[in-house]
Amino acid sequence: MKKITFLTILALFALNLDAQTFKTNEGNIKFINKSSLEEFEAVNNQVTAAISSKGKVQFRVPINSFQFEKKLMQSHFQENYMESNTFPNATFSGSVMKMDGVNLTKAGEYNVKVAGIFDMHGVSKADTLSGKLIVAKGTVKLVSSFSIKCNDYNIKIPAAVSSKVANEIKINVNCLTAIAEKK
Amino acid sequence: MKKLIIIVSIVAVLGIIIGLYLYNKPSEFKSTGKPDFEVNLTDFTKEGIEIADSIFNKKYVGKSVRFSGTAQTIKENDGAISIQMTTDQEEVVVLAGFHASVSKEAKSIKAGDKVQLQCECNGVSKPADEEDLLSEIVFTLSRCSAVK
Repeated sequence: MKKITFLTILALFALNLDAQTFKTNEGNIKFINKSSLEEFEAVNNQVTAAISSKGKVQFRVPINSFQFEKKLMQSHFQENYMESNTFPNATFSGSVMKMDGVNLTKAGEYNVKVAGIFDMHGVSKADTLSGKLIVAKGTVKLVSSFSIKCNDYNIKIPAAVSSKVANEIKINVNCLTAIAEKK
Repeated sequence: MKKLIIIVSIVAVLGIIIGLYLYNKPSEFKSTGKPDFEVNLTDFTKEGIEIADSIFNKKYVGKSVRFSGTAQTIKENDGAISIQMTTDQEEVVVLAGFHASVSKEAKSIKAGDKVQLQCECNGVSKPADEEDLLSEIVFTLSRCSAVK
């Protein structure tokens, strides 16, 4: 009887470990524009990010949470380029490739590739991103740096500002997730 | 003719000055003035849950919203402050973000405090399906300020 109870508890513990999700609602994403005439960046501190111990990765980025230094740029970005009241979020959903080499319960840094789908401005596009998972006690930091092209997502840059707004934008991701409480 | 040239030049220079001013005008880091909506937080989240995302977001995204509620948790990230408001339902999350430049206002708020905030609404997000890791219904608001 004791053996059965012990094995049951062990099985439940293992199942619980298997189902672990790390999450944050305060992730950070920065995008950097470098064009021939102008360089600027915008920061978003309200990114929702999650990673499961099975390697599933998801991001949700509220577009209007990007903060620019200049008001005109902010309003053009929201209203004209991203049309944020129609497409208020950009999302990414994917999986870590070769997850068996990654242990989210053991402190360390893991270089990973994540294959998934970006959904932005009404356009879905498959992509594979390189990044790093930095595991510490109870937390997983998701770090990545990559570029996206505006025209891949139907984001139209008017010819009049094309020398100031580059088609290719660099994105830096830095999201510190923690074990999510089960509800 | 000379007068015309002078007038046109003055108008052109004024136009350039105004253009430069508007181009370089700094962003607003907090929502102030008369809000577009004054809402009861419970009714606001109920509306977001019950109606289609597209309708809710078209109505509220980019608009200023004033509401009262109880601060549940306060987190700091890179100088910016995020306050999660208490809601009636566990799976509903309301996040009010304060920019780092105005975080002093938010730092005086403690968990459990009743507050009135004015923020810019960034929309509602709902889980796509049961497999979604982002399993909560999240209302994101930013550029918040505490209303006194």
